[in-house]
Amino acid sequence: MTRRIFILLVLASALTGCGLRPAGNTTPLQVHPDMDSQPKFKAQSASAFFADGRANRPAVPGTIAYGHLHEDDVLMTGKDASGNLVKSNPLPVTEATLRYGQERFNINCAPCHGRLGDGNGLVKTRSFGALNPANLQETRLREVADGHIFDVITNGIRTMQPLDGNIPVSDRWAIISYVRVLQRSQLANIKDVPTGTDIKAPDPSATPIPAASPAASSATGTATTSPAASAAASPAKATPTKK
Amino acid sequence: MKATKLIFPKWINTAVRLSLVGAALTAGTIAVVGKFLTMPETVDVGYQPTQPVPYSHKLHAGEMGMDCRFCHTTVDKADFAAVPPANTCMVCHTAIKKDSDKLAAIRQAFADPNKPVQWTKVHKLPDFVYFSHKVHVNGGVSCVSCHGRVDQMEVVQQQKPLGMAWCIECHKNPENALRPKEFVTKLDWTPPAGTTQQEIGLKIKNENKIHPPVENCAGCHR
Repeated sequence: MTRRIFILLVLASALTGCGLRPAGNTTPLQVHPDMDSQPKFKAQSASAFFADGRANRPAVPGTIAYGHLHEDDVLMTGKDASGNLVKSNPLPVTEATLRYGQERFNINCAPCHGRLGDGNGLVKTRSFGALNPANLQETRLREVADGHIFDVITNGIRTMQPLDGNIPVSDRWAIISYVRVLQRSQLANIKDVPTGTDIKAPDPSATPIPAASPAASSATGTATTSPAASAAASPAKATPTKK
Repeated sequence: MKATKLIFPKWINTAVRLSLVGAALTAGTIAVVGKFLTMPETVDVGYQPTQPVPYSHKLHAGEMGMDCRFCHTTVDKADFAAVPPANTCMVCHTAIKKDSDKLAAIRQAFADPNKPVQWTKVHKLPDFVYFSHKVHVNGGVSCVSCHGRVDQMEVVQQQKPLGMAWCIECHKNPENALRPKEFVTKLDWTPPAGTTQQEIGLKIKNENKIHPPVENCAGCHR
């Protein structure tokens, strides 16, 4: 009888999950450890063999991994052969690039610069005044060369740290294309809306919206017709509304 | 003729039958109890190791809404989801809370790249399982499906069993997990009103021809 009660108790505790359930720090029990741990390295795993304890190895100085020969200076540094910042994006501007740039901007830039690029990201508001991210809608940054933005993402500027380890090169250029879309979208006016779209006429008493600066116009052609642009812009700012 | 004297009394017949039944019952009990005691739901779920740095996913991913991919940069580009280097922390923490004691280990690792922070891995798969993050994430399986609501965790805890039976469940019915790719890192996503998870999942499954390996062992084991 006592044995039966014991079995029932074990069964009940197992069923409710408090039998061998790891409590916090307890390393989980390995029931069948046969080939769970093989003598091989997985990404970022530890290694007792190398002095620094890492299985990931840094590149041997003076070597280049296959497919990593970066010959294209403009693409890799945002500077031309004479060291000047390139004016325009070496990547073609397509809808796919802009959509990808939007996704990457929202991941990597929006925490500080905000989804509109206005410098009001959530991290800034929580930074106790320690961070003052640039407002990408400033005229200065609208007129700056694409290569400058690339250089800032790559090497950082003021309190902004280099993000070259986080954002691959082609992603950086896609982000730059999208930043141009964001800048253009905040200067949109009613003439940018394709004919045939059903919207209300703007209120003539509303504040006139300044024309786009020349630097922003490089992305204009795609920007105004791209859904990415309309998705990015907040309806309140992008579309003139009646008060 | 005189009857041969039997060695065993007659009741032995009943005793043997009963003991066979008893052995079967005991074996069955051991099997059932053993199964429940050792299944991943019992053994692995709840693992919550203390990390060298008290990093809060609840604060960073939850309250500040940072995308998972700000730190786990490789998750949609490689098989593994990278644990970020100290540099990623220092993108903000060179300025924010730059003298905090909690960040001492990060500052040390930032100063000497050869001594990285030694985080403890929480979600482990056996070495004979070849799981690819990019395939799942780009196919429309959210982080939440395998990792739970990490954006609500002060300290990361394993919430799903990650056992093979559990994997197969989803591989058989991927429509229960698939969502549009743009919402993969939005852990609190729910299907828009008027639709169900199954409808959306089935649409994505058919459009992208998603057929996860179920009977093909080499799909995950090599």
